[in-house]
Amino acid sequence: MKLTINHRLVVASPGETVYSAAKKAGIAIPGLCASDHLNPFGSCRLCLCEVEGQAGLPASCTTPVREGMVVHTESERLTRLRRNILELYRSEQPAGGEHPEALERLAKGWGWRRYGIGSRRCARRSSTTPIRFSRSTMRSVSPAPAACEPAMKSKAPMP
Amino acid sequence: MRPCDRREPRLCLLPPRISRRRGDPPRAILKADEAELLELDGEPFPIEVVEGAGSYVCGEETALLESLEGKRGVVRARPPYPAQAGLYGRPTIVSNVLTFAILPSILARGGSWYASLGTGRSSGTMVLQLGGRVKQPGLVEVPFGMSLRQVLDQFGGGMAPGARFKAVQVGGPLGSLFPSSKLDLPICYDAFAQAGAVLGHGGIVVYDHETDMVDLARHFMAFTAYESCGKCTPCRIGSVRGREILERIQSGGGSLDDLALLHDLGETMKVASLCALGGRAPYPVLTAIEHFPSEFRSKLNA
Repeated sequence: MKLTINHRLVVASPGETVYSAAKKAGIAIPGLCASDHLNPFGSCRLCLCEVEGQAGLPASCTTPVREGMVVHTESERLTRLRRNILELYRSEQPAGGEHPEALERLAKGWGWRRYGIGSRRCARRSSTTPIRFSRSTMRSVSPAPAACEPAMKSKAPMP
Repeated sequence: MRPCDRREPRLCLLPPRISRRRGDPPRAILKADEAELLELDGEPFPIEVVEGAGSYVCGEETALLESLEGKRGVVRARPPYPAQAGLYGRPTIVSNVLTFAILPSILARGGSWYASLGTGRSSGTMVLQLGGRVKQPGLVEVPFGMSLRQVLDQFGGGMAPGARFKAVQVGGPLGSLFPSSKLDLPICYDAFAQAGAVLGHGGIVVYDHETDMVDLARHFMAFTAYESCGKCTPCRIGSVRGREILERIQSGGGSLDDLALLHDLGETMKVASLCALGGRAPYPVLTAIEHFPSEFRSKLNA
């Protein structure tokens, strides 16, 4: 099965997704939720693409390849949307805390933090005991309360 | 809803508000069953009623299928479409109850009669739920093509005593808000699509002069934040951030940058969300800002 991704002819097998076909051809599409070890889920929406003759912007990780389809994974519009989505992800990160590597790698150079950092979720969580795994090898999945305090002061009051 | 394989049971999912408060659709199905009317081509045609748990997003066809399968009601990526792989992976046709409700009239009076109603590509009738500050709220069925103004005057009886018209929202909590200058819009799919709006489930709510449009916009973004299934990022995080921005504007702490950010967030949610819940959520907010800008500006912290 042949398709065109970013003006390049790509060969894929039926049932494959645009995301994996691109990856095999050496075309990297940004994404956080797509994994070789999981079924396609389409959650992060960072791998949005443009398919000629098709309305909307489907996630390439959940879009099956079709014979002759013409896909674009890079455009000004897609870049802007990806920045906006990454900005949303970042808005959920605790202030002063360590941010996930994959997220920061994608957001590299994009300084947008218009929503502020450290959200209300963080503030709410800090009032209860953080969830911790018992095994010492696993890190805490919840930000430590101390990391949340500046966030609570940094933005306008949220009722 | 009916899986195409006739060996499968026929199911339908009803919101609890209908099945608990009214009890009518399940009772009607029970009565039809007792009267041995539930058959197709001489074979039994069982209909099983499944009560929904109240999630708004389960009105979306793929989330509904997930829910019927006993899973959490989150939206599926399409393709495959339900007609290709739906309930338990089988081809499935998902129809609205309204579709079935119109069938008796079509069977009694013929398809050409039904097709003669309406206008352009919107043939037939639309059931509207008229609510808010009209004199006479209620359910009405009108032929497509009637204007919003006609519906509000003819069936709503005009405004409720003491209320002056400010805005009307069509299509439910994700519907666009229209000011009085847009009331001549005909109720049909094409005209609404052109106006950047949707008919949705036909809910019409009229707001009067006392309505605070900033608070209304905040309310609808809060609704999406509450109802979001959480699967995709633009809807899950975007609706919460949108609600927070509107809360900030309402409390007097907002700025012009916040309005620009709402537009940017709106565009992201519209095109990047997985389903119409996130995709439509910005519409009431952005149309409120578009048609009532002074109400937002007056609350900004210079």
